[in-house]
Amino acid sequence: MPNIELMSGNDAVVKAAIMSGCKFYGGYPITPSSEIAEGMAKELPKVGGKFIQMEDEIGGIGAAIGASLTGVKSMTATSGPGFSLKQEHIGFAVMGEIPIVIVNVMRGGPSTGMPTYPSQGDVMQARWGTHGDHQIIALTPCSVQETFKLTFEAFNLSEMYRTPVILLTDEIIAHMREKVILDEAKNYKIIDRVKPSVQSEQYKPFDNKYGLVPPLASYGEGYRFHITGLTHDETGFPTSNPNTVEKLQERLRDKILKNRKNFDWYEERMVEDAEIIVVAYGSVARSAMRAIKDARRENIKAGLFRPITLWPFNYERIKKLSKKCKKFLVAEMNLGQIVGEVERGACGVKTKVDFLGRANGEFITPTEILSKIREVMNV
Amino acid sequence: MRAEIRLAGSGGQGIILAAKVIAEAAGIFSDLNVVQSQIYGAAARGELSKADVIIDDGDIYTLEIAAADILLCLSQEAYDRYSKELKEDGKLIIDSFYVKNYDQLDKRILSFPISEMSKELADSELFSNMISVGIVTVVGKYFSEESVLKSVEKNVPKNFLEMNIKAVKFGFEKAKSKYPEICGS
Repeated sequence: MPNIELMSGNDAVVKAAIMSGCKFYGGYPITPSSEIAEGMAKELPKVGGKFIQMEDEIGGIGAAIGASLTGVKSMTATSGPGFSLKQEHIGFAVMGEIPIVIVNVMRGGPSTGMPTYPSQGDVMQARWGTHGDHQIIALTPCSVQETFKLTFEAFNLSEMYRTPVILLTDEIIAHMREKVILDEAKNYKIIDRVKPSVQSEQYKPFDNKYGLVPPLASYGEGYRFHITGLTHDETGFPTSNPNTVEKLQERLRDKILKNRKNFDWYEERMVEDAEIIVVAYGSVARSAMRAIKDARRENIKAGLFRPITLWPFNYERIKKLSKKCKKFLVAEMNLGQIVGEVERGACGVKTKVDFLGRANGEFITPTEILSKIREVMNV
Repeated sequence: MRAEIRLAGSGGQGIILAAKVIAEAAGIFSDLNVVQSQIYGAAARGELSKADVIIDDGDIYTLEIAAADILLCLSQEAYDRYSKELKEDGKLIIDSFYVKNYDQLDKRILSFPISEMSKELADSELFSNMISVGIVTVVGKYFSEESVLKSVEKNVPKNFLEMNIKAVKFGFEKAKSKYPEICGS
C-alpha cells in the first residue's frame, strides 16, 4: 500500500522540510502559520536539528539566517504582520546571498487584519516588501500535495541560487486536510549548496569566477569571511565603487533571471482553444478549475493559467496566451495585485483583462467565477 | 460521486476528531479523494464548532460546502445555525437530547438520543462523537463499515480504542434498527 497520509498544508510543510534536510527553524508563532512552528518544534529534535522560538518575528528570521551561514538548511514561517517585520532581513539574505526558506501563510490584512481568514494580499509584499532592486523567488501551491512538493523545491532553489525563497500559501491551503502521497518524494531531488573547493586562505565568498552563484563556505569549518548588507566586493567587504557595485547588482539579478527556465512552473488547462483564460493561483485556482469546466458545459470556451512560480512572474507566457484568447479574467483574494502583472504581460495586445477579487476574508467560489465568466463573455 | 458532510456541535464534543476519522475512512481506507476543513480559531470549548468533510471519487475543486448531503447537529445552536444549509434530499442527524426545537415536519431529520446513548454505553457523553461517526457511516454509505473501523484504530489512543470501536458499532446498530429503510444494507 502506498504511503498516504491525510494532512493539512501546514503539516505538509513540516513533513517536507524535515525530509528536505532542514535542520533549523527560527521563528515566532502567528496564526495561521503556527502549526508549522509547532510541528518543527516537535520534529527537529528527532533528526538532530534545532528549533528556537525567538523574542519576535525579526529575531526568528535573523536566527534562521545565522544558522544557514553555519551550513544547515534553515527556515522560518509567518503570516501577514510577521511577514512585514521580516522584510529587512529578507533583503539582508538577498544581499548576503544566504539560502533560507520563508513560508508566508497569507491572512487578511493590512496590519493584524483578520488572523483566521484567508487572503492573497501579500503577493506584492513578497515581490517588493524589502527595499532596493532585487529579485525574489516565490512559489504558490494550490493543494496540500503541491505544498509538500513545493517545500522541497523551495529548499532546493534557495540552496542552488544562494537566495531567500518564499513559499506563499494561504489560510485555506494551510488548514485544510487532504491526502498526501508521501512516496512522491522518492522522485524529488534534494539539492545542497555548493561548498568551496579552495583552501580557506584563497576563499572569497562572492567570487564571480565561479559563475553566477559563488560557492558558500560554512562558518565553523575554518573559513573566515565577511557578510554585510552593504554593497561589497568579492571578499565580502564593503565598497561603493560604482563598477564593482554594478557587477554585483547584475550578478544578483542574473543568477535568478537567467536561471528562471529551471523553475518556471505553471499549469494550463484547456487554453488551446480558449476565448477566455482565467488566471488564478493558490486556493482560488481550485475554484477556477471547477468554473472553467462548468463554463465549457455552457459552451463558453474557457481555460486556466495557474502560475506556480509567482515570482519572477511569467510575462512571456501571458503574452503568448494573449495572442490566442480574447479575454483574461484574473481571480484573486485581494483588491488587485497579480491582475496588474497580467495587464503588463498582455500589454500591446488587444486582449482585455478583467478582474474578480475582494479582501473581506471570504473565499472566492466556483459559482462566482462562473458568473463573472458569463458576464465578461456576454452570455 | 460527491458527498458533503458537515459535523456541528459545541467545542469539546469531539467534532474535529470525528471529522478526521470520517475523512480518513474515505481518503485513506476507501481510496476516495477528500478535503477536510473546520472553523478555526474562535471555536473553543462550549462554543459552536463545525467541521466539514468533502468526499469525491474524482478531483475536488469546490473546497467549501454550500449545502450538505449529511448534516450532524449535536447542539441546538448548531441546528439553528446550519439546518438551512442542507440539500433537499439531504439527511439531518440530530442529538434529540440537545436539539429540542426543530422542524417536526422536516422528513430529512433523523433523530437519535446520541448523548444518552453514550451515557448508556460508558456512563459519559465522551463517546457521542464516535456514535455519530457510526450513524453517519450507515446513513451515507460512502465508505464501508470496515474502513471506518480501521480509521478509528488509526486515530484513537490505544487504551481507549475498545470503547471507541464499541461506540461506532453502537451507532451502526441503532441507525439500522431505527431507520432500516435508509440505513439497512
